[in-house]
Amino acid sequence: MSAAARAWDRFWFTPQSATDLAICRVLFFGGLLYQRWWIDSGPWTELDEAFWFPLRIFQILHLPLLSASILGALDQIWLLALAASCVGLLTRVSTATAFVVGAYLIAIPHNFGKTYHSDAVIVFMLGALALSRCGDKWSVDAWVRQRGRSVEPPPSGEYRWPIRVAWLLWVLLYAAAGISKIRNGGLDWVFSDSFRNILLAHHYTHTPLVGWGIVLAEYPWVCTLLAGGTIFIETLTPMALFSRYARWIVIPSLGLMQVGIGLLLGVRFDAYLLVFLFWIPWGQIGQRLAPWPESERPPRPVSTPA
Amino acid sequence: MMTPPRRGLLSGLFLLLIGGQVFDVVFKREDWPFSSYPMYSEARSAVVVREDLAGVSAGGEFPLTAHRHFAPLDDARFRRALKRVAMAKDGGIRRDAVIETLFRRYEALRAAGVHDDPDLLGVRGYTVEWDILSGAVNRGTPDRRKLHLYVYRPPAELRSRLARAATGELSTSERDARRLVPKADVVVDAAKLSLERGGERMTDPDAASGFALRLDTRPEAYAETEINVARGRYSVWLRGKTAADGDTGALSVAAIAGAEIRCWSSTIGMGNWQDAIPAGAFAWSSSAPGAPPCTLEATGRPVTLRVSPHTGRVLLDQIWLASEQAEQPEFAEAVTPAPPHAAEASR
Repeated sequence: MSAAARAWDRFWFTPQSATDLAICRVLFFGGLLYQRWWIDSGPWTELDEAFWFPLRIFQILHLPLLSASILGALDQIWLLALAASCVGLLTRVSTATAFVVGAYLIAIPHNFGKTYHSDAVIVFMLGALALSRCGDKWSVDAWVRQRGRSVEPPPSGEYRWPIRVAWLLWVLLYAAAGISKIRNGGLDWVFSDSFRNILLAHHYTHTPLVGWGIVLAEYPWVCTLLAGGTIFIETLTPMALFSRYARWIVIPSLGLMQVGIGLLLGVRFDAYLLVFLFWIPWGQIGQRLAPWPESERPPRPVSTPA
Repeated sequence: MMTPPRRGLLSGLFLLLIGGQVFDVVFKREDWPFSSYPMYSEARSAVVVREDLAGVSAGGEFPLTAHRHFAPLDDARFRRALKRVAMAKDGGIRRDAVIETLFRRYEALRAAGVHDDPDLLGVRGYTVEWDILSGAVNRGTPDRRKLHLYVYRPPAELRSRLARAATGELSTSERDARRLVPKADVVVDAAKLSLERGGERMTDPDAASGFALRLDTRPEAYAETEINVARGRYSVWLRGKTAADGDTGALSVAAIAGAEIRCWSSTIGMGNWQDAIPAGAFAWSSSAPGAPPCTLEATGRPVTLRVSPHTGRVLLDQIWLASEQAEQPEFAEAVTPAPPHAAEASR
């Protein structure tokens, strides 16, 4: 095996505790269930076919817009699948259902004239979890399988790669956004009034939660700093895959940036937060916060640096 | 323990994910769920453009938001869909279907209690622009506002009448019916315009005087009249129709002296009945059915009105300078100014 192949294998499949993936499963599916609780896909069928501009993937796969009654049933099936995935009930079936049905339902609105970017990562993540063994711990399945006893599954690469997929999705998303800014906006994006105009423009077209953008726009050097910082952090995001030091800088910065966008511009990307959860080392945090003494703690999750 | 085939399969999927994303970034493509994530990537100019929607009711315009009045469409999808429909080869057919869908959703959401806005006659889209100022102090007062979209669907009763008129099924009483309009209004029967160059008076039982004016399509053709109009602002309405054989077209109406006529568009002329009215049925229109009316600003001196062909050929029955009717009339009958005593009594 070549060095590159070994590095690849180490990155994706180094054995890891099931704890992080189990927590992420609960939070991801629970969060998605909360966000999509009011889903109602039926009204899309009431639009004339003149509104239907199918995505390329719908054209290739010849996917139709199903009838209102079928879509209504799919909505319910998806919510059930999300709930079952969250608690780990029939996890392989429920996560696969959540992916197949969810991908279709999430895609439907994008066939009506405009494609948004906010939920594509959710589709990929649903696919990854459908292929994973995320139900091996803290799930109804595990509880039934172990007949009520708590048995820690042995560390495995199966518990690592889904988390790394989430990392990869996050990195690809922000790196692409950074590259687009460099290609489309160039130096003007940083050194002209562009960022100031973005901060102010949203007070004409949106309803930002706070008026700080107007204040910040009065300071050109702050705008230049924020614009430069945004592109710098976004394009550096891939480093977070390979360096834990970069991770500690880049990921919280992106999290803060996302919060800042929500507050200053009134534009929210709630779906991204669900993927952000996979960056958090839940097992390690649990170890540090656990109330029992070191000697009585359960075994530390195996975590190998990338 | 993960088996080598499973690792290989998963690795292939990871590479597919990376490859798909890199492909879209390199070629600036959008292949959902892959994307180059171009949002906010252009350098932002100091001009803000917002697209507003307005509903048209008998009482005038009122603000619309797509996600409230036409859900599940949101504002962006509403605009994009209409633009793409307008550009489609079969845009005319699709446009009708789109309009029908919009009105159906509006009514369904009103019935569901999502909104309680009035009966919808039309939708207008405005491009609103601001020059960005420090502190966004001018956000309440746009610097420019321009109509870029209008759709109109006659109310049910009028649609029924128009359909019968188009097929020659109007009763004599319906043909002879007149709407009284304020005595301050000015109504001109087109048949009484002096034909200066190219045109003819056509016998038409649905016309107010039994005759309608049809101008030649030659650009030099025109008809004129001089009228007395009290000082003030009037909406200019034309009662006309496209020919039953499907001929389409518009007219130009200009005030040669004594007034100035202003329209929201300098290119589409006036009339354009074919946008929303079946061929062969007389109906009221200003620049186009559902669009904001052209206005005439009279100085108080005698006004010379000149009507000339703009595109195609249409039949013109009446010109109505309305002091109060600022929105699309909900009727198709010919009009006549109320006699003084009737107007007094109605006050």
